[in-house]
Amino acid sequence: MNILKLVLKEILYRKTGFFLAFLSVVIAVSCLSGSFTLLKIHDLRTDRIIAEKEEQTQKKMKKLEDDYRKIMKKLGFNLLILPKGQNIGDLYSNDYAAKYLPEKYVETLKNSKLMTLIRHLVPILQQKIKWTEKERTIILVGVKGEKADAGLKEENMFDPVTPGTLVVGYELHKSLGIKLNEKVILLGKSFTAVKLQEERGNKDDISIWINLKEAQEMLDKKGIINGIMALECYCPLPIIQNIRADVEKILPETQVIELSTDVVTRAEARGRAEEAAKDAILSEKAHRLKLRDEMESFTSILVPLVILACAIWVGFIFFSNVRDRMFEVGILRAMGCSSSSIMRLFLYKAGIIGFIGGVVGYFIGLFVGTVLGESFSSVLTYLDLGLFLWIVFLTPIVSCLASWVPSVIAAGQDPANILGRE
Amino acid sequence: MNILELKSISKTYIKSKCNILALKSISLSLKPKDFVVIQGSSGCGKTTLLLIAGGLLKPDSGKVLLENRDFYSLSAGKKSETRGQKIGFVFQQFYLIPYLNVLDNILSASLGIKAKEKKERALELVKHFDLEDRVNHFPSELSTGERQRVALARAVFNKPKLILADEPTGNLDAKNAEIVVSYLKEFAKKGNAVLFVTHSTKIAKAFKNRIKL
Repeated sequence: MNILKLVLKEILYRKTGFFLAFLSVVIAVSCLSGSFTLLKIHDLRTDRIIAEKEEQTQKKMKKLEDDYRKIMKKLGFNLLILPKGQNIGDLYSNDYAAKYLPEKYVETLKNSKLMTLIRHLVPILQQKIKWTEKERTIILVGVKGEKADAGLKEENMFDPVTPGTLVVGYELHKSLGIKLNEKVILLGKSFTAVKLQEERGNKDDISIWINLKEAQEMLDKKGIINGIMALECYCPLPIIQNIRADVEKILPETQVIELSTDVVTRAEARGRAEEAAKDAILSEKAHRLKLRDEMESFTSILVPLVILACAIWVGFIFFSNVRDRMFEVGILRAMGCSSSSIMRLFLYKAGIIGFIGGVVGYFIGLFVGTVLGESFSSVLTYLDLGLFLWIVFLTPIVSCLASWVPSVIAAGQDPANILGRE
Repeated sequence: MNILELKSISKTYIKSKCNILALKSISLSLKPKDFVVIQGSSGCGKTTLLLIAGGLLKPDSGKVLLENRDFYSLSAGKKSETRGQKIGFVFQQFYLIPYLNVLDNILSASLGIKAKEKKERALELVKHFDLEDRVNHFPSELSTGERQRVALARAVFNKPKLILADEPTGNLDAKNAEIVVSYLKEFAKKGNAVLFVTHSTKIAKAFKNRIKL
């Protein structure tokens, strides 16, 4: 016979008392474990929400970038590289093509390491001419699409015009009744109208675009061009501002006209959208943090109160147990049991109740917390071994503390008083 | 050598309204093989004397010598250990532990002491007290006679030198009372001592060594 065996047999004998004390421990521990589980679920959900928001923002920003690229493409070009000394005021005059650039500048620019940000290069040869067949003055534009970005797909290139075809400006095809795929004679050469432009309200409406090589031949300007459009698909704001200087370094005897106002505006708008998205994430984080603080404050009041109430309840149950076992204490003392052995008799019981109640309470709290916070299927996800070990370690100690006073009273009982009641 | 010697023991219970003198200058000694009966009416101090002799209640004055050692000069731990080894108690109410069966109740005497071959000793006592078919029974399932025999077996489990019996036959029928008294006599004959307390004049008259309180 030893004290532990005696304790176990007493627990089995006085099941109601044991169950009530056990229930108290289970309630206290499940409150604690449930609160921790709910807080953990909240934290994980916060992480998930923020991650989802960040992912959504990234997708949104990618879409914005794509839209931006497309808008830039539609804008036509960001940079217009012209021969040095070319008067900008002569852009639409008859002697526009008074100064020229060698066409090889396109290759130079393409091979330039500085030009990784430019994705489209469009050499142009542009001149106001008399369309003799139709008796109209038009701007003839010879263009050729060049890829500066090796990864760029052909379909994303800036409207290449294949030889033998032409693109007709709005005013021209409307007033002359030119239809799609109609054969058109321009300066004695036959072309197919492959595209009819929408109205733009500028010089484009009276322009015709043909292949650069054919334009050079027709205008007798082989191997020369009078401008390069450098089409920027994406460029962060600070880089846009340096591009002009970069181009002038690579191509001598040129001037760069920066048509970047819209680009800068759009880049700024995009930047603002990005900032707004980041602000939204920060705001969500702050909201979730506030919610967590509120939950934590509530828990930090509720859990200690429940633990205290349950500890007091355990204490009362042990008082009752001590009273019920007075004669047992008396006879054990008479048989030579020391007061410390008597104390152990009650503290072991409290420890056992604490241990079993702690284990059961932890899992009940985990289960209830998970079901309330998420779903039954994710119970194991929130199993916290560290917390479990702390509970298993601390609950018997708290339980022993709760039963300490009754145990001391039992140990301090005078056996003469108990056994001497004649 | 005396197993137990009480020298001028006095004890007064201090109550709120009056002091009750339970024992006044009582002296007695028990040598090996002594069987001393203390006889007196209820409330005369019999149980007080027994508790003082057993080291459970300190007298106001006088000395209790257990095998010539001053029992009350021992530390609390040593006193408990000595009591567990040298003294066996038998009470009228048996004081069996309700959630232990017969065997475990007998073995419960080994809680306070270090004893070897505990179970063999307990089974030996079960056989001796004719409780073999009751080994796994709980106190509530036993007759009063059987309960007292279990209490007696528990009292002698640690092979004490002295048994302090407080009205051990008070709740028993004549047959069971005879069994208990016979065993106590036998115990004393083996070189031990018994201090037997009873209110019954009839039982007391059956013994030569008797003191009337």
